[in-house]
Amino acid sequence: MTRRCLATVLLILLAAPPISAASAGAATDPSAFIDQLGRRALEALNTNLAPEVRRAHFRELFRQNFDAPRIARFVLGRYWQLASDAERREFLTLFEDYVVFAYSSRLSEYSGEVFRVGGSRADGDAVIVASEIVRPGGNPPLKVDWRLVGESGGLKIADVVVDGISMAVTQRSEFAAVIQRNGGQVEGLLTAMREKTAGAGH
Amino acid sequence: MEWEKARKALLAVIATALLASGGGCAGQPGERTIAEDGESDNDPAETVNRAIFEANLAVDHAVLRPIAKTYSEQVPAEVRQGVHNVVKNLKEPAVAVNDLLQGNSQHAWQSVERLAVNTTVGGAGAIDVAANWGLPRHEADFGQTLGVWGVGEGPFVELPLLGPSNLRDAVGTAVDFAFDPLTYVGGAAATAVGAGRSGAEVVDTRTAHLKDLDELERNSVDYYAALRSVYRQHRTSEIQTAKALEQPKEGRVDISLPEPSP
Repeated sequence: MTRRCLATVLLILLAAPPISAASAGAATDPSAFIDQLGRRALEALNTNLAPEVRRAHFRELFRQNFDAPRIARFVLGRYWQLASDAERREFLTLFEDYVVFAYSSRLSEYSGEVFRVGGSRADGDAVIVASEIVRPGGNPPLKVDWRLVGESGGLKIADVVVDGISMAVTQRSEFAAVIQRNGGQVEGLLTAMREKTAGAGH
Repeated sequence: MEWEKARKALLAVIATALLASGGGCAGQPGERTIAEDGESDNDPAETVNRAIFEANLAVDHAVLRPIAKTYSEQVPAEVRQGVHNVVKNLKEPAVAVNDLLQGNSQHAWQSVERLAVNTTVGGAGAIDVAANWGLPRHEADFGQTLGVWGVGEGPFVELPLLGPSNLRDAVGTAVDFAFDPLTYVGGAAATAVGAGRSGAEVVDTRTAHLKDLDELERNSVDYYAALRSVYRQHRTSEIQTAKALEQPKEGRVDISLPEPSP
């Protein structure tokens, strides 16, 4: 449920054309930010894209709308301090590859689900925007919370929480386990990520 | 078939063993969120858990997943939905009891109404009529009740065949068997129905998560760790939601029926 529905929501984002500087400046409200992306994505959703094209769009949208360095630092957790500069740099690159690989592979399963944006609330230095994905078959809607950071003109996504499950926390837990099983070496994680993303096409 | 009773006994043994070994089930004051926990995975028995996980995965690949795949591909969606509804309907009594224990009498009453409506009008539970009547389904189990009462999750436990759990929830699952009327009704017919119901529940649950788990297994660099994190966060979120619904207690469980509107 977690990655599949996140992929569904991210498909909505990836199908949207890049937000121009003008419209980004106009979207000062966090809810409007998510809502605008969602609307544009839904309009563009009918096009049938090839997997490589989808992944390329996904990567572009991830770069534009997610605070990748911040997420990567959080996800590496306490091991960020222990990693060398070279390891940190490589992790940042591999992390983007890994996100594109792990989350875009389900995009072909997308089937018209309605995306509804709710209100926003403050949480420390971030803003959380609530949204829902209405699923067919009488199942309860999926709750998706978007954690936004940054200035109103330059809002970026720092985490996505699907039905109470944070993508960043899950990823951090997983990566930490890999590092621990490799004797505390970050290189072990980098190897695993390289193997996973090899041949994913980037 | 003694499967129900054997499963219950197995869980009781595990739960007792873990409690006896001082698994730290000392009722921590309130649930701590994963974020507050720092980066602890709360998995002191990780080596054993991983071994059980590998065994579970082998059984899943060999038996359960193929069944679920065939079930989802061959059986029509309406039939599968009907099975799902029947399985959930049979759980409503346990849900209602746990709602009361959590101090949520309105939710408990809703479960009772759902059971009554769906069993009669909904073809012995096959159709979720109650949902269309403004009575949506919700879930509650004893592990969640313990959590609402302030019992901390305890160490992570990978249960044989049953999958990810923790000390508190494993105890909860054992207690839930006690709430199950079918556990007490003896005789061949009841055990046959019980076994059938268990089988249906297992296939139904596995099918519901077929695509998501496939994807997670394929994409994760550590499937065990990913599932562990997902399970912990899911339970914490469920308990926080249930706590928010708790009605103020006055030292006793108050069962109040909704008053008729004027």
